[in-house]
Amino acid sequence: MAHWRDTMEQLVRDRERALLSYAYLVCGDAVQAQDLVQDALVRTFSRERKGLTAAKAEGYVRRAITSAFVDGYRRRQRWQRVQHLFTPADVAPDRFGQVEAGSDIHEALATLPPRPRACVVLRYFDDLTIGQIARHLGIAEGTVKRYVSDGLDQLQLALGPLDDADAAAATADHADVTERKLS
Amino acid sequence: MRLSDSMRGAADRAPIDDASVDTSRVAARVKRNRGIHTAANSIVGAGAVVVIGLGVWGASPAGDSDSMLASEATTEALMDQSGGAEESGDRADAMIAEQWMCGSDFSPDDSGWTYGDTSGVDYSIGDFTDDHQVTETVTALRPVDVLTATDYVIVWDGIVVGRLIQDSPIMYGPADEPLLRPDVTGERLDPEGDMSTLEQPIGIDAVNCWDGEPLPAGKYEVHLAKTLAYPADEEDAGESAPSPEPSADTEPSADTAAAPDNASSDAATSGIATAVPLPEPSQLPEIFRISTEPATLAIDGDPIDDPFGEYLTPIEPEPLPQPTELPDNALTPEIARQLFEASRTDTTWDMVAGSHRWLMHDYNTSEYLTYGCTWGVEPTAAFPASSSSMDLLELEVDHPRSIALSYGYVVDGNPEVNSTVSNVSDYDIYNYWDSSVPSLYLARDGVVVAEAYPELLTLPGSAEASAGSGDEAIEPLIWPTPEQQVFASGASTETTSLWRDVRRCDTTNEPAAVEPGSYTLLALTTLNVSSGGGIIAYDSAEQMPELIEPRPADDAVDVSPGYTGDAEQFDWVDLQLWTSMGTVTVTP
Repeated sequence: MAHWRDTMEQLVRDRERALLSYAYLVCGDAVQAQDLVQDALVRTFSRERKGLTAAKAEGYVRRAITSAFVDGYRRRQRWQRVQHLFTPADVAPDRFGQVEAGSDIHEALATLPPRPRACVVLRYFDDLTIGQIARHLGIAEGTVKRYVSDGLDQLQLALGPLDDADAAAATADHADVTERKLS
Repeated sequence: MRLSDSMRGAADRAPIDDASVDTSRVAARVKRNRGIHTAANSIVGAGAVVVIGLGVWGASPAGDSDSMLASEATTEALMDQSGGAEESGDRADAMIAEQWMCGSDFSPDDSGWTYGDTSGVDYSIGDFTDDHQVTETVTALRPVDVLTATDYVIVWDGIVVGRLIQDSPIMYGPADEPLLRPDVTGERLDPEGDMSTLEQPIGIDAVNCWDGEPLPAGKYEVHLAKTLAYPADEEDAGESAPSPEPSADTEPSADTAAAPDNASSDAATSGIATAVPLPEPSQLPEIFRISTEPATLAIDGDPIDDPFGEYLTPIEPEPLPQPTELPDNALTPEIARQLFEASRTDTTWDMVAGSHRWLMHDYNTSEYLTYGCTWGVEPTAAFPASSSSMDLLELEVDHPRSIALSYGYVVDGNPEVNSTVSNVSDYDIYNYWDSSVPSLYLARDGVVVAEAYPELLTLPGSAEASAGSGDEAIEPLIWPTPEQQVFASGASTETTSLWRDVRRCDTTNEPAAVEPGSYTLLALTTLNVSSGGGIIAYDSAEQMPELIEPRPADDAVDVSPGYTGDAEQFDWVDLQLWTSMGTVTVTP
């Protein structure tokens, strides 16, 4: 068996649920999550990457999931299409400022626009720094900060106060600065 | 409640029980992307590998490393060939692509022309008769099924000028699995049976394969070939028994009775096989292909020079339809760079009301200048010395001159902030997704002290107050301009927002209150200009070229932190427009 395929199948065998769960967190739809994971696998393994193990590949695939999600959003030419694809119909009526406190995290995430949502997931699920998110999504760090900040505010409307929100939003910058200083 | 913990818990509870990853489909797409599946000629070679592997797969015991390798080659190559049909959902009808096309070079050593273990048969032909018939003789040395009629190619000067190629007996199932076509019937030749030899005349249609015109006078080579298979039961009896062993003490089921291994019992007595069945993939027989030495076909008449010149003269390829590129007045990253450079200034921005400056994050040069909140730790708090005063977008914000703050919230109602972003350049901005809702910053002595993000109240380009009602009020942060993301030269987009709060952002001592006093109000909007993003328009889907990411030119180890395939195709700049709105007074 070709090495890449062996690696891919091992990854899917061992981490299928984790990847699908992650993709679901990113997009909020099981069917789309499935497509995102498959697209991400295609993106990851379409390039020759020597020495790629299943463990390393998982990192690539996770990044590709968010890339695919945001890219898909970017490339739609009509917002209605974007709305249909990225905001499940049953949660589409939710609006900023209109989610009731105590909502499920999935519902709260569903109220976020795609790019802020991707930024929040990358920041708080993947523990990426602002700079890493900016480089990954190809947007300015300031934009990422804004998305994260707005996303957190919106999530707090739905979920109530978040212990890590204030500090993390602020220290995101600290972390970046620290990262740069250390490097 | 910690968000990170909540998100991880949510991921664990994600309702994805019905979702699954189809690795076969992924593998097929990967293979296609890797560029192995390219052109018809390469498919010929791949097809040969396919079927060679297929034969070994059916004949060799499980666990044999070579056969496993060949099996893998089979599967992957088959998936290559099914790739084109995969997207259309017609995979079940996918077959090996057309081979040995008119005008193509032909070599009998082509691994697609013959393959597999041909030791089970003798194949020979006689001489051509005047009416262009030749007798072929297939003699079985062990049981074989003849799966196809005879293929032939007429070769002139090493080039295919005439041909008759039968359909491949192989098709691909819904999961890209190789299958024998259901309409394939076989003739069983068995040295122990009544029919061990097949002898039949083959008529050669002496016409060219471009337009069916008679072949001009001359001598041609005719190569014949046909596809056969060793029945699975024949291999069972051999030394290399295949893994799927039929039950010896049970009657074959209705399904398995149609399999070649079971059909052979009748065939052995009658000498003529019944239809070769549609076996399970694991029961595919070992398929092979035999060919003859070339026979000479002589066409009488006066030879002519360059008999196929009119067909073989290269035709200037019709240029690919040019995509309807972005119009000349579209803003591109390069133009944005030029505009930026043309108005670049190294003077300190004085932040006079109405003045503006641009900062740029350039993908090409990695130049990245930033300004804004420092949170008390950013090394540079002042506005970058190098910026641009280009006229690209114009941001106007109608804001209150004074706001009262209490614990960071604006009291005495939420004042409205009306903002207008105008494209004041000569260029149309395509794929414009950036918000017309500005971020607001309070600055003192050129350093940002606090930030604010007004809440959208009305939609861009809409006079309706629709906050919180109606499907239109969904996306407050990222909003395309009208006309499908094209922000035309001279166009404007307006929004009305509520100014609800101000957050101190120049210190680590949170929450710190914004001190009363006068500040310079700065408004920020951003603009991303990229060369990609799917804006290229084609008149029809057929005009679209296949986009295959080229393989890396070298084998260098990729140490990039994440997937960067798409990013490599794009060029972009991220631009920040900072505009001074004058003074705003904060009162307690």
